[in-house]
Amino acid sequence: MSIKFNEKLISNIKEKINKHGLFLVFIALLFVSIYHFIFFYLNGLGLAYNDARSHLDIGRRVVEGLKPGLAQLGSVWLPLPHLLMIPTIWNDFMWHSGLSGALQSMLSFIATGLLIYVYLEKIKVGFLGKVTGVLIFASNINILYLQSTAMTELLLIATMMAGCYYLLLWFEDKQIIDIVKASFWIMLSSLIRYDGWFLFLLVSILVTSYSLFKYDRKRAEGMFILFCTLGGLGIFLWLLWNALIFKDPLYFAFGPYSAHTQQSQLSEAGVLATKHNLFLSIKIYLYALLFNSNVYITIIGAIGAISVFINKNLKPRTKIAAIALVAPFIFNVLALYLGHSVLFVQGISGNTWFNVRYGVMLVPSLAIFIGFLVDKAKNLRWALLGTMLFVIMFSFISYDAVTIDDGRVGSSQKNVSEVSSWLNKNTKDKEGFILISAASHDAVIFSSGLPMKRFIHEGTGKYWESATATPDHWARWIVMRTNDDNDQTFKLVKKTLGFKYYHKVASYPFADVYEIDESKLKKLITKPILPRQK
Amino acid sequence: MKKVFLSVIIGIFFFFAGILLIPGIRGTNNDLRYYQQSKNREVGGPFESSGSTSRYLLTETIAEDRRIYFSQEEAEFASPDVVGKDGKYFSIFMPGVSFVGVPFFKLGEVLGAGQIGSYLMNTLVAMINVLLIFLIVRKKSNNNWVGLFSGLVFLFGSNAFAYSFFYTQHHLSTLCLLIGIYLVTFDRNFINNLLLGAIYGYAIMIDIPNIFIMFPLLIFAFSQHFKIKKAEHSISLSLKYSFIYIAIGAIPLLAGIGLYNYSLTKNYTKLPQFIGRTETFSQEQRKAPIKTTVKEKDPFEVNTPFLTRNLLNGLYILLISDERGWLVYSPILFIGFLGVIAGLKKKHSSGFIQTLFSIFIVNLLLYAMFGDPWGGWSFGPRYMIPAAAVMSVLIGYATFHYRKNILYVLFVVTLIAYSSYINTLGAITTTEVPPKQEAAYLTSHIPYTYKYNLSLLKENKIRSFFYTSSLVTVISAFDFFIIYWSVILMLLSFSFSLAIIHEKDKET
Repeated sequence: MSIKFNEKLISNIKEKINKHGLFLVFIALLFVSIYHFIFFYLNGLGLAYNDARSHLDIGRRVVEGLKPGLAQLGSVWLPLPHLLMIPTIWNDFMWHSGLSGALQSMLSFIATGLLIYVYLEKIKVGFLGKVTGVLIFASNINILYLQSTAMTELLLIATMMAGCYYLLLWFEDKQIIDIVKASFWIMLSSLIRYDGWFLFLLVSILVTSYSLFKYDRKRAEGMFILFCTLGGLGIFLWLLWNALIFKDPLYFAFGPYSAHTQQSQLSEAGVLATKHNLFLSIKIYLYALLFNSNVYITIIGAIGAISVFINKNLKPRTKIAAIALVAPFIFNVLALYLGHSVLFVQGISGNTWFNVRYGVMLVPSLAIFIGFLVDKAKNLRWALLGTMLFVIMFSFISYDAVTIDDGRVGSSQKNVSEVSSWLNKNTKDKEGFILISAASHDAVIFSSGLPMKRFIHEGTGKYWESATATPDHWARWIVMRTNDDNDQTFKLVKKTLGFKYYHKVASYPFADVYEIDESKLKKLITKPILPRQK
Repeated sequence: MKKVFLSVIIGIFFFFAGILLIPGIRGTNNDLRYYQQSKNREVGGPFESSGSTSRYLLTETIAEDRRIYFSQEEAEFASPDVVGKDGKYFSIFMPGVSFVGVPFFKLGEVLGAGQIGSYLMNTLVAMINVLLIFLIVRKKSNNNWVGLFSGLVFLFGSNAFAYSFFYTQHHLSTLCLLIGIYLVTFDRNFINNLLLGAIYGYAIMIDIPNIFIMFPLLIFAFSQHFKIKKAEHSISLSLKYSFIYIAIGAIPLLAGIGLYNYSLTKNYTKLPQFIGRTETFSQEQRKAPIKTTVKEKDPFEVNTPFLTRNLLNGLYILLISDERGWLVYSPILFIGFLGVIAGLKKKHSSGFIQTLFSIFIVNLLLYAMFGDPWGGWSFGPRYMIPAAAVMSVLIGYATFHYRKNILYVLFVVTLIAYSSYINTLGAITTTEVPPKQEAAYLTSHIPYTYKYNLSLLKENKIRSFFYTSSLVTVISAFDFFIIYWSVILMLLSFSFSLAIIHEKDKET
C-alpha cells in the first residue's frame, strides 16, 4: 500500500504543529492534571500529607476562626501558597477537599510543562525533543501526585522554572524586561519556600558576574541592583513581617516552631546524621532524587546535562543560564549539610520516609536535559525514547511513588482519623470550644470537619491566652498529647488549677481528649465574646 | 576453493568449541545415568538447582507417561519450584524448555540416559547460539573471524558457559532472541515474518519476560515494512502488509500457552506462577485444617514483581557488584558499548544498533526492577544471558572498527583472559552461589562470589563426567581447570588474532 503526500501539505502540517504545539501541550496537561486530581481525591491520598492539611488550615484561618486575618499566615512557612488560597478557601468544600490548595498545584503543573516546552524551544530543540521533555515531567508519578495535593512543591517548581526561563531569555536576547520578569518570578518563589532564596542568591551571582565579564563594573552594579530590588523584595518583606508580628526578623529561622528548632531536637536525639557530613548529605539527597525521578531517567538526564554543557553549538551564555537549573540540588545538599533540613530515605537513614519529596525538585531540569539529548542524539533517539517509555510504563503499573509512601506510611503522615472522628461525632452538635495546639494537631483540626471557629489555638490571641490560663472557663474539650511538653496545650494547661475539672474521655496514639466535668458546663463560655482583636 | 577452505577452517573452530563443552557435562561414579536414577541434588550435579529439576521433571513425565502433573514424590524433588492446586502438583515454570527437551530425552533414553539427552539439548543450543552470533556479525561486517570471535566471547566469556550444562531457560530464550535478530537482517517477506512471529510466541512459552526483551525486535521489524520515498514535489509512504504474518506466526504458540494454562489452572490467562509455590507435601499437612486469618487488604498494595524503586539496587547487582555483576564475572561484555558507538557512526546501521542496544537495556532494566536480580542462588547474572548475546554481537562491531588500535587489542586480550577464567570456574564447579544476604545466615560459611567455585575446585569437588571418569586419579581438579581454561583461552586468542589480522572487508 502506498500513500502520496504533497510536500506543501506536509510543510503546512509541520507549520501548524509548530504554531499550535504549545496549545496542544496545554490541553494534554490539563486533562492529565484534572484526571489525577480526581484519582487521588477519590482514593483519599490527596490529603494524606500532614503538611497538606496544615497548609489548608492556615489558609482557612485567615478567613475564618476566632481571630481571622493576615496575621494567621504565621511564621516559618512562607506565605504565598496560603495567600493564594484566600479567594477559594472560605468555601467548606474547597477547604476540606483540598482543592483550594491543589488548584494552585495543578495550575503550576500545567505551567511548568509549558515552561519546559518553551525553554527547549528557545535552545532550538525540535518538536520531538520538546514533547519528550514535557512527557518526562508529566509522566512522573511523584509529580502527578504532588500536583493533586495542597503541598507547595509544584508552585515552587513553577515559579523557579519561570525564573530560569526568563533568565535564559535575558542571557540570549539581552532585553531588560526579561531580567525584570526573571526577578519577579524568583521573588515569588522566595515567598513559597526557602529554595527560592538560594535561587535568588545564585541568579544574582550569575547575572552580576556575567555582566562584569561581558561589560564593565558599572553595568554589573546596575544589573545587580535591578535584579535584587525586585528579586529580593520577597525576602525583605518576609523579614519585615517577622519583625512586625513576632518582634524578631529571624523568628522564622530560629523561633520555637522553626525548622532549626525541629532539627536541633533531632540532632540531640542523634538522628540528624547529615548535619556537617557532606558525603552523607549528597548521598541522601541523591537517593531522594533517584527515587523520585527514577534511576534510569536520572542517568539519561545526567547524560543530557553533560551534553548541554559540552555542546559546541550552544553559546557559553546559554550554558551559564542553564546552571540555574541545578540550583535545587545544591540548595538541598547545603541545607542537609548545615542541619537546616531533614530527609529520611527508608533503608538508608532509618526505617521510614520523611521529606523524600524534596527529591522531586530536579524533575523539570532533568526533563529539559533529556529533551535536549533526544534532539541531539539523532542516531540513538528512538532507543532512548523507547527504553524511557518502558520504564515509565512500569512505574505506572506498579504505581511506585515514594512521595505517596511518605504520605501513606512514612513520617509525613499522621493517621489522626481516630481523634478527628471522635471530635466530629461527639462535639459537632454540642456547643463549646475545643482547646488544641495547631502547631501539634493541625491535622486533627482539618480532619475533624468542624469549622475553624470551634477551635482555640495559638493563633487566636487572647482566646488562647485566656483558655490556657483558665481552661475551665473556655474549653469544653481539650485535645493534647498528655505528658509531652512539645505540645503547647499540655505544657501550659498542666499548671492550671482548672485542669482538675477535666476527665479523659478518649485516648489515641496521637492525642488524648479531655472533657470538662458536667458540673462546670453552666459557667463555660461557648460563644466568641471577646472584641475583635488586632 | 578459497571459500571451501575457509568454511572448513571455521567448521573446525566450531567443532573444537563444541569439544570444549564436553568437560562441562555432569556425571559421576563412571555412570552417565547416575543422576537420573538417583535424583541426587548435590552441589555440582545436574539437579543442584530447582530451576533445572522442575523443568527436567516435566520433560521426564511427558516423555515417559505423557502427563504434566507430578506425583507427590516428584513434586518434592522439583520443589520449591512447584505449584499445588486442588490436590495436584505441577511445575511453576513456563513449559517451553520442557516441551522441546522431550525428543532429546527420548533420544538419550535409547542409551538409557534420558537426563543426559535432555540436558545436552541446552549444550547444543549454546553452540547454535554461537553459530547465530557468528552469522549475524558476519552478515553485518562481512568478516568471518570477527563473527567467530564474537560467538566465542559469548560462550566462554560470559556465564552462558556455566548454564550450557543445566536445564534452564536461558539458552533457549537467547536462541529465540538471536534467531529473531538474524531474521531482521533480511528483507521482510511473509516467510521470515511468520518465523519471527512463531519465534516470538515460542519465546513467551519459554519465559514470560521474553515478551518485553524481544519487543524492540518486533518494533524494528515492523518499522522495516515502511518505506519513505521523496519525489520532486511529494513524499510517498509505502507499507508492506506482510507485517500481519508476524501476528499470524505468533498466534498458534500463544494459543498453546493458553491451552497449557487452562489444563493446569482452569484459566487461559492464569499462569502457574500467579498461583505461587507450594512448599509442603506431607500427608499431615494436607489433612490439617486450613487456618483462615482475615488479613486486611492494603488497597495500595503493589501486585507486580517489577518495581522501578528496585532499579538502583538492581543495576548495581547486575552490573557492578561482586555478587553477580558483569564487572566481576564478564567485564569483556562492556566492550559492547564501544560497538554501539562504532555502529551508530554509520547511518544505515543505526536502526539495527538501536534495536540491539534497546534489547540490552530492556533486559537490564527488567531484571534490575525485579525483586530478585540475583536470580536466587546462581552463577553470575543469569537473567542477563540474552543481553550477553546481544553485547557479543556488538563486540563484533567494536572489533571490526577498532581492531587496528593497539590499546583496544590489549584491553580485549586482558578482559577475555579474565572473563574466560571466571566463567570456566563456573562451568565445571557449580552455578549455586548464594546471594550475599543469604550467605550471611548460613550455618556453614559459603562465599557469595566466584570464590565459592574456587574453594570447590581446591577441595576437588567437581562433577564433570570427563574429569571424574578419566582424570580424577591423574591430576587435581585445579590442574584440570588450569589446562581446560588454557585451551579455551588459546582458542579465543587465536580467533581474536585472526579477527584483527584479517584485511578490512566491506561492511554491509
